[in-house]
Amino acid sequence: MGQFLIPEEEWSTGEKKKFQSTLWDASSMKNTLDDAAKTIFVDGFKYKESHRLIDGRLAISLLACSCAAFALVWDYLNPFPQSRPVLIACVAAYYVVTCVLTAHMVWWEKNIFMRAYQSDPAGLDPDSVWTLSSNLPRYTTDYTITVQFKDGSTGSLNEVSITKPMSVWYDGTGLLLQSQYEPEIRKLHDQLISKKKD
Amino acid sequence: MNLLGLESVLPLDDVMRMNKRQLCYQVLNFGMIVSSALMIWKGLMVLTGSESPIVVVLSGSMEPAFHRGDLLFLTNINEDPIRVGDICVFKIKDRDIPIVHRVIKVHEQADGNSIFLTKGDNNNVDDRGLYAEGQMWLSRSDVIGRARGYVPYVGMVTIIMNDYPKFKYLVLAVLGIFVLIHRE
Repeated sequence: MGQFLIPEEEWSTGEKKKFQSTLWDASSMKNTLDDAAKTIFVDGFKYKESHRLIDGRLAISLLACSCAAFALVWDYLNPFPQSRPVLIACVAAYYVVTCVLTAHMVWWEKNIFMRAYQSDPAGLDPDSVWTLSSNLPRYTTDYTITVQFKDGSTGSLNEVSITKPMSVWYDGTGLLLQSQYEPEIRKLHDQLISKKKD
Repeated sequence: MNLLGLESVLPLDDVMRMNKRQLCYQVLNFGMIVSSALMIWKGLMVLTGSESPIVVVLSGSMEPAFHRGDLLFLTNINEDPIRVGDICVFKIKDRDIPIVHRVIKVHEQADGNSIFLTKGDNNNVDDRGLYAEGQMWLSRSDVIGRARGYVPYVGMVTIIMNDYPKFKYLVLAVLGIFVLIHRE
């Protein structure tokens, strides 16, 4: 049995390392940490990823762009003074949809970057839900990752999180070290599994 | 993925790791930025009533009031009558270029329609030479707006972009690529 859940070849595929980030670029390093945690949960533990959140965002953005495209086409076909009412409607609609999008991102998504379902081995209880969220405040390198577990059978919600400066997981070139990061994530996961058993 | 060595120049790490949905979102993000700009422009059109609420002064015919490269803000409210001394932006039929000149004569007809004669402050003659063949006066429909405010020099960017279209496409392409690559 290998030491790691994710095979080493997948973590660093050939010359182009999969979890290589741009050194000194905080958002790139945060994104790499998020992606790696997601890979551990989805590919490593083999939970089924839910795309509801990002699909929602995509749908709203598409709606907003369609409003703008409609306004563009309508105005092209009916030169300005005639198209005034349609333009007013489109601009108002666009503004409303962008507000909805912001609301979705602030209240619905928050800092969540992954949600996955763990199905009950016995097939009896509804799926348990694993939710990962992370936070990197401005001008610091302290990355907080929170794992939340909602038990399918009892409905109870538990979460654990860990905060560390990002440098402990990266090497000097900006490559995320599997030996440092994967055990931390697995520890969080296992903590919640054992809480569930209590 | 062979990227012709681009990965050393551009920060492509994030992009390489993106799945289909995230790539979709990058494209939509770009679309949202373009849409926002478009909606602001259309919104201004509706607010000011003018089909071109912001124009750039292209010549020096209105010096010392406006210089080439100034940005003008226009409104086009039909209820406000145009008076002598107003600075109007108008288009001659079948020509694309808007002209920014001052109204020097107004004839108001009995039914409320007006016709105007314009002249650039810095020109020696009135604009009859610029009007279409046989046209002696401008009517309300030729006017796209009246100048209400201006910002100096900013319009030079537009003039440069129009004189060197390749530069414009290059700038837009570079901006577009950076928006598409950057992950929030």
